[in-house]
Amino acid sequence: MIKKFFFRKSSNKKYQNRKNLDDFDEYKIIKTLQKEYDEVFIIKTNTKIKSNDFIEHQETINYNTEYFVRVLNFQKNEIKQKITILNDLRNLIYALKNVEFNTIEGSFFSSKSVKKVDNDFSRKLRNSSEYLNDLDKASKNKKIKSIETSYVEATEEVFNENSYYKYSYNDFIISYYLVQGTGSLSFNHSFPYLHLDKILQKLDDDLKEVDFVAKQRSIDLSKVKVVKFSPSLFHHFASELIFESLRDANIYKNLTFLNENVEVSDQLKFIDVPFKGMNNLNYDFEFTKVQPHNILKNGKFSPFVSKFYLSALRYKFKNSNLDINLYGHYFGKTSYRTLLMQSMPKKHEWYNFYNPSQLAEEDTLVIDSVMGLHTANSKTTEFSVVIDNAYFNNTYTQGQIISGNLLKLLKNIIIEKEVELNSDYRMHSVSFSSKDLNLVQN
Amino acid sequence: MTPESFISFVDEINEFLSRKVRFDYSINASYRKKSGLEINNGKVSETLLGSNYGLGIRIITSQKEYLISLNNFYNWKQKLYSEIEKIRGKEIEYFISSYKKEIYFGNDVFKEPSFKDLKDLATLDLKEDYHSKTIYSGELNIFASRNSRILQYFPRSVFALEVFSKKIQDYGFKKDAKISYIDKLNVEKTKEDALKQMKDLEIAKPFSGGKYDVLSNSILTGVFIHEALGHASESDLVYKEESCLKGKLNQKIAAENVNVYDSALGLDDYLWGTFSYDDEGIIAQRTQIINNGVLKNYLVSLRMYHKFAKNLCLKPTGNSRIGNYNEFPLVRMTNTYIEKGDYSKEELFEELRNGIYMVDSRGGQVNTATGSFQFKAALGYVVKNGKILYPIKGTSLKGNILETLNNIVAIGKEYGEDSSGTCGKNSASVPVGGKNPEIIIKSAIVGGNDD
Repeated sequence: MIKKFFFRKSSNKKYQNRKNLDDFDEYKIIKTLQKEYDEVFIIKTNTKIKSNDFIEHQETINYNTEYFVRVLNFQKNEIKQKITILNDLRNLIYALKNVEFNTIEGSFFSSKSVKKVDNDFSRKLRNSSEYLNDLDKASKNKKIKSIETSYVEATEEVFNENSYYKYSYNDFIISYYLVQGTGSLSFNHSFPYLHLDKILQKLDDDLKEVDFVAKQRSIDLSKVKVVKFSPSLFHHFASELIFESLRDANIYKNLTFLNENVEVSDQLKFIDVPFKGMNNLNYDFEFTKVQPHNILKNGKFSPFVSKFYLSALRYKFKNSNLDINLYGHYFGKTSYRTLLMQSMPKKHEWYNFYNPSQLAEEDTLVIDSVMGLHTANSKTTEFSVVIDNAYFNNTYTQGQIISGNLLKLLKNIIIEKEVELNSDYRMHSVSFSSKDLNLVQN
Repeated sequence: MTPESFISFVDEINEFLSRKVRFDYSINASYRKKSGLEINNGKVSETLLGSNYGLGIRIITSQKEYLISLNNFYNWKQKLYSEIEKIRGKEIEYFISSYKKEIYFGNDVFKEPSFKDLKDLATLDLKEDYHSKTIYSGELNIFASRNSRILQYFPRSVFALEVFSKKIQDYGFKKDAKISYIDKLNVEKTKEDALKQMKDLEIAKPFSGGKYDVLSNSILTGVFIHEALGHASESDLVYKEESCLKGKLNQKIAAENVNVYDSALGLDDYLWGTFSYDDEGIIAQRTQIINNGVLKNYLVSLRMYHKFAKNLCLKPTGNSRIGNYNEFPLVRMTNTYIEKGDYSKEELFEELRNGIYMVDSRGGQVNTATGSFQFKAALGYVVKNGKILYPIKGTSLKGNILETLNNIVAIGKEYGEDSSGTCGKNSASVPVGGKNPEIIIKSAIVGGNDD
């Protein structure tokens, strides 16, 4: 039985006080299109980004508007879909006329209704000229090779026949790159609001640390007893191997190690939390309410979290309510994204920010970053990468090759200290016996 | 908005800026129409048609550069005026071009192929599971300043194919990308190559890493020369001390037989990174980076010329590029290649004798500051006594740029396939290409999956 999406009229007071649905240009277009299509979705994104590069002395103001439009026709046991992406709705009729339907076999699992929302995650920054001046002063240090900030104000609006939702958000993004001799340190973080005091403190600490990094030397690998992945490296592994394996297209192509039978250490838990933190979201772009997902619990992966609504139909999966395109590329399309991935620890020991030396223990190689992890095999989880920054017995080092199999490692993992990598996402450092990994001098 | 009305609109904005802005400025505008189609095992799984236009206005003062970009032109005069009014600083002369040009890399670039044509092209007669994608994009890029207006029209076509093996749960991947209409895409060869890669992967053995002599095929050589040498020769990275080539001009950095070029003029065809003028209005050229093993040039933008390269007696090389109108131009490669040598294919295998033949690329990474790199090959072959014995999987090429360049002992006499792709830098992506010969690298570090 094929059912149509069903939505209630908006109950959002702010929105109702301001305008009627019919006053939006988008709804006028939806009414025209309804003569030809059973269902019309329009997603409009407005962004204003102000960026500063304090070393290059460059300033950018970017105003951007994008529309993602999806129309559907329902027929017996199949759905026909057209998608077009543009920045001017005046081109929409032409685009839809010229793009072909593709067909999705199957039927909807259930009809849906949503509450109307008008989320506003905007937070006030302190006076912008004040933070610009602070960072401009800090950038005079010769070890700083780049220091950049971006302030993003964005609004997403989703329109459908009887529904509307809108949410706004702010991001503050800062990155810097420090070089002293052959040593370097980089920092890149996003915040829903500004923690400038913490950042300046971190910058100050890193300016001291990079002198230490510059004194790096080769190490005797035979002395390494334990290998520790820093929280950012563990997150990098999770992103490249676990989340790449969760993508619907990779599941469809069977390019994933995940299945219900895969078991790893029961100490480890991964959860994706969509309605907390910077990537706040109550409803996905198919008007489906989002929900937290246990990606890994009690040692077992949930292999089907990536199934969003239309993919679910295409690939005959169950919907996981995560069809979003929050920072989608202009020519992109909606697809599964993790929103706020966290590893939930059994131990808690918080750092706001860290350097590898803070995680050190005797005869333990603390690896903070590697090169080439994206070339790892998401089917077998085998990887072979080059260490870019590591710490061992009071010295920094780099250049060694490390290889192994992540799945095997996760079976014998030891959870270490938890770190808050930015204001709202958490990850651990984790340890393995050096016997479980291959270390080779480059 | 049609391409013609967009050009008129850019002219109107240029006229407005010439009256309101007292500083040197430029406009980078783009108008793109894209249609694409994906096929899973003979069935259309996605169709897409999109259009996108917008412009960025770059304003140069002696203290700072500003970029104001927009794609929604409602109230544009007010938006621009409010931002322009805030700009302070002294005037400088910056842009040097004075051109009125229209350059076509194809006719009727905005005449999209029908979805039937796209479908016919991407539907293959294959027993194996496959996923294919065909994309056509018509692009108009505009550079305009107080004295110039350069229009460049590009037709871009891509065909990409993955052929899956149920036996090993892996796939062969090949693509063809051309500055042309879709009829120039070589689908049949792409299919044969992807199928062969998949069949060889099915019988490939695990491999232990170590030091080996390596014969790198043209695609992997292209990736190596682009990622390892090309990025390190970008003058902005040299200026920021993020390149291991800083201070090495006119020094020997590679084996004597090595000559490396970056050429936006293409090689014998419009390669993927071809254009006529860069995004600061500088005419495209062929730049020799390495001459007989000696570093002769960095890739220089107009900006880097003003900042430091003129002190080294270097000229702008026409390598300033944007990925999108809302970005500052950066120093970017175009088509980068090693000049062909004098070894035939047979002679290369004979010279290698015992080692690894590494084929194609599945991604990689480089640290231009330290010079270390890691590139994964799609497939490898063990070579004994100059003959291929069997395929191996999971191999990657690792090492240091300068050491590896000095260990190139033989270069093939034929250019291979175009290693076209998209190059990312600071979140900006531009099309790049290059046809390279096969090369032998002595004592290379090869990573394996059975280390």
